[in-house]
Amino acid sequence: MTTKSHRPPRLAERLLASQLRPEDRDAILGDLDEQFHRRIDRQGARGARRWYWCEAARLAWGFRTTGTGTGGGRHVAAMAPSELRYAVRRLLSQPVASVASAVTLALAIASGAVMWSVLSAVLFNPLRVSAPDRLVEVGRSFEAPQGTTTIETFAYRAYPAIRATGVFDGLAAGGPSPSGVTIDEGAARRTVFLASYDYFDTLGVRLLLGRGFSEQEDRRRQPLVGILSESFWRTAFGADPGVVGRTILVEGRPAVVIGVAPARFRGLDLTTAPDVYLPLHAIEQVRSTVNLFDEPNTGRSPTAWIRIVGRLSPQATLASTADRLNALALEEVRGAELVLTSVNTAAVPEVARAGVSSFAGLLGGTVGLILLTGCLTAGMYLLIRLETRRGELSVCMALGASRGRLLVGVALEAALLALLAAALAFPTTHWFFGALGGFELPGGVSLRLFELTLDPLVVAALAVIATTIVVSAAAAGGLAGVPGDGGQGDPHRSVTPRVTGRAVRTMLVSSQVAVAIALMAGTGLFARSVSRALALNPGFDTSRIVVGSLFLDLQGYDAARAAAFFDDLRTRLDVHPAVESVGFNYRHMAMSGGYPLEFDGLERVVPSTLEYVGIDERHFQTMGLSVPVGRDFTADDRAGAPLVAIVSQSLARFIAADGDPIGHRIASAQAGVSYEIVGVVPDVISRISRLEPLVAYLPIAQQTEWARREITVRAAGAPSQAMASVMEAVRHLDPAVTLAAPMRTLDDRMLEQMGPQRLGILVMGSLAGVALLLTLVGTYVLAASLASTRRREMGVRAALGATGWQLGRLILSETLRPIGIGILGGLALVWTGSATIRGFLFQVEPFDRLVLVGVLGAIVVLAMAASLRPARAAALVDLTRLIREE
Amino acid sequence: MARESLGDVEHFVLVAILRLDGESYAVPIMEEIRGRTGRDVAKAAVYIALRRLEEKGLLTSRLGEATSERGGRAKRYFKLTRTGARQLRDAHAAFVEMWADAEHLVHKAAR
Repeated sequence: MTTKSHRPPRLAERLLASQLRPEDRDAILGDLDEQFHRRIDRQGARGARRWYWCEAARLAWGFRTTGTGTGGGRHVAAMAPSELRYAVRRLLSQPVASVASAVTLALAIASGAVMWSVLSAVLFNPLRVSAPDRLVEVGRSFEAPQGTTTIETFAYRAYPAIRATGVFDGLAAGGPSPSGVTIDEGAARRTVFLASYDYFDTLGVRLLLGRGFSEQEDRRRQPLVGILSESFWRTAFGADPGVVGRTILVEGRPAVVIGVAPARFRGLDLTTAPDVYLPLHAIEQVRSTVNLFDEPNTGRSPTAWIRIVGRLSPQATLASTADRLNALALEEVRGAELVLTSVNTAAVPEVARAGVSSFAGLLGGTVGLILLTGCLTAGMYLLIRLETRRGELSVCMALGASRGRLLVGVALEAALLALLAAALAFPTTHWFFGALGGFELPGGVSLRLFELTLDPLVVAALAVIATTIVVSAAAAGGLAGVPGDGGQGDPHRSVTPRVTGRAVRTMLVSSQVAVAIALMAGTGLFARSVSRALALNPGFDTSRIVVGSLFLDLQGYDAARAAAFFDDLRTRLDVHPAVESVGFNYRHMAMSGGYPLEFDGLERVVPSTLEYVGIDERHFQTMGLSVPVGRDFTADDRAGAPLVAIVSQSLARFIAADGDPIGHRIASAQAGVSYEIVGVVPDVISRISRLEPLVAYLPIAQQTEWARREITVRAAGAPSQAMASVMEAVRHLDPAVTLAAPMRTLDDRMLEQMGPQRLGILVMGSLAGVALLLTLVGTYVLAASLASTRRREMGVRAALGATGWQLGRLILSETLRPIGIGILGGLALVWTGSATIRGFLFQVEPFDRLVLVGVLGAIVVLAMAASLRPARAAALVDLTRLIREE
Repeated sequence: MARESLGDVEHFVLVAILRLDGESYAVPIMEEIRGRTGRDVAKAAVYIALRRLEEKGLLTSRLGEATSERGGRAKRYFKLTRTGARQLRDAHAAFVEMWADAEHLVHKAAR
């Protein structure tokens, strides 16, 4: 990489330029530029940029303090120390209020920093590879009934064929192991990625320890070698620097560790994070059931399992490279059109790309709102402080202090608050990072897989933004209203004083209310979505149904041995007190939507995926389903008897318009096989994307036995106990057998699919809580301030015959005015965000009446409750006492 | 009118330019000072000294070539004027005169 591609930080350059005389500017910036480029060779681009920032700051400061810059600096610099001292004193004089303001700002800055880290990790800089803009993933495009489809996986032979074209500067291939593998006989199954020997070189990834695979190691039947991910190395090996050379067991086979991948490198797919990398050809040592290398005479068609990534040649573009490849019409890809996608784009599954971007935007917007609320609250605090100092400021101005100087004081106070907030933001941010770990973005992009790191520069930048907004908010209302007559115009002299900054305060409270409403409404909408998803299966108790997968073929079981294992497992679980009922099923086959299938001998296009699920005789009973139409399977439905099926209600409706398909026939995806429909069961919705599941249930006894099954358990008590009992029974029967994935309840499955919504509830909910609290504090302060500044007026009104109720109502109505304005603003915010949030709502509209009425009602009631005390104080005002006090 | 005496940094800057063939720009001047004295003189101080020396007529400057390494910005070359050379010579002579027979005294005092 040439150093010419690097530029000094533009912001630093501009800041420095603003401090230099025009006649010096070019020469000095040029000198710094020259030294910056020399630094790159010595310290790298990052170090050079850091150096530039330091030098620019020192130079700017040097010119300012000597008064030889653009001018004016000497004055401000001379003024700063004394003003700083006063600002510190002022903050210390009210420690509780100062700390509360700083904590508010800290929450705002921390949430901003966290969201920036998430956006940076997921959207802006998702892959830790060198020059990702030059890396492309190769895919193949097909015409399917539902439109053009792109498939990213290839059979192995495509990889050497594309490499031989020489179109790319570097070409690598890899693919995940079809299911996790066991490392060192650990209970958890680890994610393994099979990578070609040149994978790390092509991606421009330098290993943290050791070396990459050699060409020799990436051949079939070679001794196993492995590269650990940095996080696996840290968690499983305690970051042992001597790990290279150690032997680990991969599916019981020894593998020598030859390297450790760098921190935060997680391949090219954001939905997974491999623990171990093995050479591509080692796949058959961990999985041997499929034809992975296009071997002839295996009776199996080649498996498309590898993804191919290439580095563009220096002068080539994405389009020109694709054209060159397609012009070759490679036989190995069967004439499919090859398409190239930037790895940054391909990192998120195609179906989820738009969702991730807009959801990230939604989170970013939310954080922007809370940052604004935090700043407004701190600004309000300073504004109120300025109110109390009106007399003092007025005297200062009468003695010759300029408004500019007073502004410097306010700015320093705000800067100190922001500095304290930034310091508090660091631990808060780490806490936020921890809380986010269990959530997913759309497309299954789990935040746990990202190593979110805190960038101090982001915190600093946010602190600066906060300071600016706080100063602007405070100065706009506070200083504008300060009279320069030394207090001769003391507002307390008149009966109805002009309340300085009332408009600004009203605006601040209105803004807080608007932000709180938007956040509370968002939280409510997400919560309603999740509750709707959990209520999709009203016919049975999904919280007690526990499911798990057993892939016994991975442990070397054949179908007969696996059947015996499943029978034994059922026998053990039948008598377990934690288990009410147990059943087995497996996904026999599935047919994609858009293809024709025979029903009663006539072809019809199936609208969505049709699943054929083999079930045992206890499956429906375990799920808590009855067969309302037709009959359940019986012992007579055995091998050799006529083939029968029970269909889901949605499939029944598709087959027979009246919903009674009994006696109709449905073809299998296998030619020449069809089933007679003997019953209908309610739909079981396990995926929110399939609300009308087309499922044909088949008796296991009539299907070919297979060594894979899903176990379904109805828990007698707590689901966790039922899960533990299954694990214990499996371990007892064969300690080598592990579950392919952790057991979960059906509710858990639904909740996992609602990951973005749950993240929305957490983020928006916690921020809404903060915003609501700040709103109530702001409302109380506004009401208290009104009651205090209008005491004389209230006294006069009381003397003229106004009742306590009338006086209290005056304060309440004045306070509720900004709440009303805020409600309008909040509704406008909800309307603005409705287009974005709509895509993440499930069976709920953005303007859901229940949510909006609840939120607005809560805001009004709580705001009134917060204003009651000041209103009561106004109602009980005593003119005699007031006159005595004066 | 009595001539204003040279400050430390001004003195260093003038000698550095002298050593760099009587004409140079800021970057090598700073490197020369750092290399010879081991002192990391602030950049701002050097630029300000160059400006003052030019204002006093001890240096003249001209804009040189622009390179891509400098972001297309020109170098400002400084050259010692005859007055500058004379004042530097006088300053040096004054130093030498002041130091005559005093070197052993400073060693003694520092002991």
